[in-house]
Amino acid sequence: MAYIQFRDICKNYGQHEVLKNINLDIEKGTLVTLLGPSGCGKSTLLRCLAGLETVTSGKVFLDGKDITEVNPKDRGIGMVFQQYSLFPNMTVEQNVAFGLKIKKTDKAVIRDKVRDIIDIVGLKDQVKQYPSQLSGGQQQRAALARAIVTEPKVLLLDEPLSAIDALLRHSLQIEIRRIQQFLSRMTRTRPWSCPTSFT
Amino acid sequence: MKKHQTGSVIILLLILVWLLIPLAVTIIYSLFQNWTGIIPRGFSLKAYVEIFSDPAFLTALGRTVLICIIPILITILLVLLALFVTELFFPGLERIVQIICMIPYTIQGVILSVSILSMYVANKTFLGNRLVMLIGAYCIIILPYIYQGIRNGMRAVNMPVLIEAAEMLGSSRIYAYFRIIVPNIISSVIVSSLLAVGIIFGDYVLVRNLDGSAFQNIQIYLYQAMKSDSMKSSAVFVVIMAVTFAISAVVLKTDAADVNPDKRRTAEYRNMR
Repeated sequence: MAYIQFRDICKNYGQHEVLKNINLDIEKGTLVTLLGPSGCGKSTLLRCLAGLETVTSGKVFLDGKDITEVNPKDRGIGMVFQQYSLFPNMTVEQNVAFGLKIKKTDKAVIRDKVRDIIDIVGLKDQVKQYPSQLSGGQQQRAALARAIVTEPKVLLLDEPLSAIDALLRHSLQIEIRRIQQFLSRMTRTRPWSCPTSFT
Repeated sequence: MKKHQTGSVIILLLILVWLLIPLAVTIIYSLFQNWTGIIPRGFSLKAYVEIFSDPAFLTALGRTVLICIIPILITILLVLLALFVTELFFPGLERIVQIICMIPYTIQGVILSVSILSMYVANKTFLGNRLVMLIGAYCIIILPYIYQGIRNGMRAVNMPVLIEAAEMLGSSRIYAYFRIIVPNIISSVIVSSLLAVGIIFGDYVLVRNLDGSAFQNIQIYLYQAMKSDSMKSSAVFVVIMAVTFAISAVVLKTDAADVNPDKRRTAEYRNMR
């Protein structure tokens, strides 16, 4: 059985049909990229998986469980948004630690995990800075760190590079792939789980 | 560029002088016994000694400060909750909520106090208590200022996206709202609160009609002082202004130091570059 399954997903906004009978299976540990013209429903499909949009009809399965009616906060899915959505009143460190604090993780564990993930994404010198003090690429990496540190089962990246200039975009594409592959190797040696990535 | 700056400074100084003239004249009036010519005469601190040694004055001042806090806290909480619901769940209702919150602008103090009295004076529950009526009345008159201030502050924050990001990290919406959104609009909350403090401090009609002599606030004390001694009433007015300025200064200093670290650090960062 596939790790992520979309079964006959339909999503309408009023009379406007955005998704029609979408059926898709995604295996665990894969990196899947949705390509298509603007307005074709890529973000909508991601948001349906995340639970930020309710489906008009159809089912979504994750690891064999029907998550169609499950709250977004209970799905175990991480997401990097188009606008990064870093919390302006928190430093990079606080942003990254937020999800772990919500889960009431031990402080020492939070400290170690946040330090590790910030090292992985290369933001060691920016831990105490606020989002407005970061460049676009740094914000994107902070958002990625924040999504990964909670060890989600699935990582969703909704046009993470659209707000980046073309020159930087290529290097960041490679950077995202490097992080994803690094996490994939890390699962064999340290307790980091590599999420199935959906971008 | 220098010429423009000098001109701007001169204009600002003139405006400042114009705005401070009434206060300056009142201060002089409270310190001098005779001002019929150009130069006032008979410097005396008698008025200030009299009011600060009058227990009724200190009690009235304390009551006014205390009665500011409760309506402001209640109204801020109600507005924050209302905006949470309208922004996230019922955006179509936002306009209706705005209109309702603006209605108190049009209600005169006399009409409001008479309406409240007619509705609640015979009520046997806590709502029939005059002090509760006064707090309720104050909540109503400060509602437009609190609502507009907070609502404008919220426009600068992309609330739905930030809440979604927090949800994806396992947070409930209400926790995300108070932990992430509210700290980012705290400046708006504070400024609106200071405006509300000024309104409550300046109220005479509501407290006179709803509580009469049972709850003497500083405005009632001022009114009674005006009937007896103009020097004393000027001193009372100066003290009211000083207390209002002090409250504003403390709150704004707290705002600058603690909250909006993003703005403060952004400014520091820009200065470093």
